[in-house]
Amino acid sequence: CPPASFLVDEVSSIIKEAIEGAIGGNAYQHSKVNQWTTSVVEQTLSQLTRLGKPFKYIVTCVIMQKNGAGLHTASSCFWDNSSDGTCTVRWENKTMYCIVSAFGLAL
Amino acid sequence: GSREHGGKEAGNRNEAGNGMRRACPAPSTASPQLRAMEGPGGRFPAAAVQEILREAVGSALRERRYRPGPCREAARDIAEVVKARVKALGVPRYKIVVVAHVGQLGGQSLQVASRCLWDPQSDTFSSYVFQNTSLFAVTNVYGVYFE
Repeated sequence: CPPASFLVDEVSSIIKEAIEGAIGGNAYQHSKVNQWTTSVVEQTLSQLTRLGKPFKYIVTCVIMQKNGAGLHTASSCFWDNSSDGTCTVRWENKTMYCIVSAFGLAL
Repeated sequence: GSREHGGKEAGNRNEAGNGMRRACPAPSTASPQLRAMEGPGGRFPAAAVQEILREAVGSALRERRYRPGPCREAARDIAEVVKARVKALGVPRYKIVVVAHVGQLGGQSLQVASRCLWDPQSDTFSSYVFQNTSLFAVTNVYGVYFE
């Protein structure tokens, strides 16, 4: 049977749902950020797991308060181009930025 | 056929704000200077990776003031250089993911969290935080074993 592959659109939807579910409609609150990043990452990871593909996953989430300061994120990977992949979603509302990256590495 | 994979998780969380604070599996007191932290072992050479992070991030950012264009380039350079040097360690059967964040110090609060679905016996990560008077950088290296 053909090897499973990392489908960016599928992962992107999962990430967007996780972000909306955790922080959609919320204004930045310092006391909540810890629980929000945890929630985004765990929800993303558990939905990825449900896909049932033979992959290991790394999910990172950054939540940053909007106050005019800049933030740049970059990644670089050494992997198998034919099976592995990554997807990054950038989300924002009036008070904060959320950047989530998921990496899938075939077993 | 596919293999059942023990879903153990490792998490790390770095926080930068008005005073740099860290919460991580091996807690240590926060300090504004260079810090590095690693997760559970495996055959991945954690000490060598830390040294690579220290060197690459330090030389990219030590003398820099925050400016958007150069810092976007710096994040990219750091990720590429760290990946290339970790790959050059030649650890067999490990895939490598490097994520670098470079940001302006502006009194805002920021939280970086990550979680992994992997095998904690063989897979691991190293994390490095850098800060000077105008910018900060958080860089994570993940080493993932494959059959």
